[in-house]
Amino acid sequence: MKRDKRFYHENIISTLYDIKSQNYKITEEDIKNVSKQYSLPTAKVKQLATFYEFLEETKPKYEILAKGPLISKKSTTIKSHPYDAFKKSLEQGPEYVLSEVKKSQLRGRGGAGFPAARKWESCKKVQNPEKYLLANGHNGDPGSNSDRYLMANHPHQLIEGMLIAAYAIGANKGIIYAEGEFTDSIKKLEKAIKEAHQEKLLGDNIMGSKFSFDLRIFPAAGVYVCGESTALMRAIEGKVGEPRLKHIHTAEKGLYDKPTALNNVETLINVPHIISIGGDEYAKTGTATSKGTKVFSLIGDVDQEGIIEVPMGTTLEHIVYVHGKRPWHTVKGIQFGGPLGGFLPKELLVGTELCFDALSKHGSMMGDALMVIGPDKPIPETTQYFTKFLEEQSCGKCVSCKEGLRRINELLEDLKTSKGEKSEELTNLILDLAENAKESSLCQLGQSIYNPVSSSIKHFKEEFTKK
Amino acid sequence: MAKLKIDEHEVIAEEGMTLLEVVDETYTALTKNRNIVNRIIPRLCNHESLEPYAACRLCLVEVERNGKTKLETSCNYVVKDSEEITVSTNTPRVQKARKMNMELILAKSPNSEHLKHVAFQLGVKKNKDFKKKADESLENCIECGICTRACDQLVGKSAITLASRGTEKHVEKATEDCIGCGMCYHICPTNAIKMEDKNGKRKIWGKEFELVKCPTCETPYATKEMISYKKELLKDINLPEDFFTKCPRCYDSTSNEDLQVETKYAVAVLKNICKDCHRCVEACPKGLISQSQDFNQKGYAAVNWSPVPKGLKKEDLDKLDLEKIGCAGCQACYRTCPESAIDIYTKKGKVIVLK
Repeated sequence: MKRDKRFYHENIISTLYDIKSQNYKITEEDIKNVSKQYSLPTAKVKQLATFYEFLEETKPKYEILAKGPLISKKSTTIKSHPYDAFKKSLEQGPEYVLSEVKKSQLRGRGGAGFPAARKWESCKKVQNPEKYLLANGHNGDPGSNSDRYLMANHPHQLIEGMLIAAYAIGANKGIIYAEGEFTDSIKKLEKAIKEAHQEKLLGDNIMGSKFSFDLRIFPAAGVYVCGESTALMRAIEGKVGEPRLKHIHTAEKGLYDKPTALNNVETLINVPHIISIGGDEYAKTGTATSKGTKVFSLIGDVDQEGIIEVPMGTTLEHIVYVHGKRPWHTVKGIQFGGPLGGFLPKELLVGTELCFDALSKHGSMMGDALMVIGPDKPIPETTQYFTKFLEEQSCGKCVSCKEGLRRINELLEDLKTSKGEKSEELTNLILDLAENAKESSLCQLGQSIYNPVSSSIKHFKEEFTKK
Repeated sequence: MAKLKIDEHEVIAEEGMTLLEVVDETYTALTKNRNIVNRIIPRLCNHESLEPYAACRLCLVEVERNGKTKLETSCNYVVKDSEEITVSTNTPRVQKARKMNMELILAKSPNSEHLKHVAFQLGVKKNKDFKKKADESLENCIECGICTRACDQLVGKSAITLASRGTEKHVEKATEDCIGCGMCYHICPTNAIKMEDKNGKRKIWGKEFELVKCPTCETPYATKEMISYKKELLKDINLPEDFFTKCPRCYDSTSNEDLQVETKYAVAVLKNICKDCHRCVEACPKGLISQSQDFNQKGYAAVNWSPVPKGLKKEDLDKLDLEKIGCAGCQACYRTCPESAIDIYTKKGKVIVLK
């Protein structure tokens, strides 16, 4: 893909990516050339070339099942999206933005649900002329393409959200981390950034103010662990995406050791909406602790797979039966939150609301993909699908995660062949390993192995022990 | 200075130290025995002279901060002035996690004597019913990254690296940058890397290096590549030609006898125990150990260590990267000495035990 260098964050990884997408492979010769170009030892380039996936371009299929305030109107051209909320923010000042976002009680859509305003405040406090705002468009959960859809069809909304957030925290540099395989999203984003530059909405002294913002796209090279904040930053720096200890917060020392705020693409797309309708109005939708709407992919044994936007507080039952069009007897349970989320049996779908705390109480997680599981699908195999995915996509540093996943997969395989013999023993050992991964691992990926494993064993134990 | 509570002991430690160092220093001060520290906090991927990596997850301790208790790896947890933390090194929770991680490591590489020893100390006796993984080349490798970090940080070559990710992660064979110094071989805690010196040839990583003979004693002592790398590092300094050609045993220089160099590491040779076997002389990848002229009580000419290569002058040192040319604290001499006559001291931050 030909890129306009002004709008991209280029580093060694994107160089390797270009080679891979042109020649379909990276040869020893290429590695030597790249190492000369960046004056790095060949071994280090080799490490990068084998660590990252460099995924090939894929063709997406977006099916919209339910619309809400966020995705009701596409914003692919600047005419359809006049940046009113950003202009309003510029008039009212950064304090106004922070207080509105605080009032809206917006929580990060990446999974953990950390309050966005608090994240911005801690980054705002740090004094540094150079600050980064990153948008996480990793969207790595298998089967999900909601963030990809948002980037492809609402690029101006995302840019406006980033402008407002950057204005609030005083960031002067922004990078959108989008998977390189999402060529449609990247092209649309590039076009939108170009348009915004022409309208002087990006660049130096925007609209005559003192606020300057430089926005670029980083075409990332895959690997699920790079969705983790510190690993993502390393990938942007052109290093191996291994997470680091968060003992020093990224708000103080993040990307290139500069103060950095990282938000999910969906979180940022919420921001213009909050500013235009007001924080109090926004907070009227949702449950006591989770406000607004949530966009995610509905996948698995449903009538039609697709993307839905529903208000927080909608019961999971409603989502499965109304949007998934599945009657009661054809559903066994769901899995929410991708490989790091958890399983819920159908009994729990009744009355459980779409809410960060309600989901985590039951051992699941708010995520980008809700998978409906039909009665024919064995739960141990679905669990193995996720643990196999994690085994492949972990960075492989911590013993508890790397070796733990290797053994969990072996034991799940044993469980399949043993036909009920020693199944009690094996499931206990699997649980032990998952718990150890939760206790001993460094990053969110390793710690969250526990969620899919323990929730499946907890709710569907008879399937693991049956003869 | 940061205030900490380590088990029952209140200590004051310098900011910037890692928890592992603080705990080590505390227990060394309390027991007057340096060898006990591995029993208090076991470790595999940590090496005093390398940046922490936190892969083995054995050095976990329980850290209480702001009322929350969490397991943290002590090797990369840096102590800060502003926070007061309580550290417990031996709770059931810590023990359970360490044991499980050790079991996982042992299941992967069951044949290494060092791993067996650490497992025994932790009370891990038998593997749970894990299948063993048969690796063809690096059977005992646990991907702790000590060799790759040493090649990068201590040698400055970065010829080997950890490649791929997940369970596929492995140490990739050395690239053409390899100089055959043997640092990785000597530093590997599980002896996974094989090296062979035979008939004037050194075999490592499937490569063959020619060993250069010392013109005086005719013993092969270093590879050609090692010498040319040394020349490259010292190219700005005027040195006699035999500085590079003679082996450290034969290169006799009285010029820097009184050269006092402050380095982070100090190697102490217990002269009366040394039996002059010269294993350390051969092991030192930097050629910093040589034979002395004084005989000890048993009649052996004990070896001598110098922090920088002999023959360098004081004014040269300012121009040099001492980590690359001088002692980097790799502990190769310490590990190879059959008589335990070598001790290494590393300069660390100060810890004061109050109670």
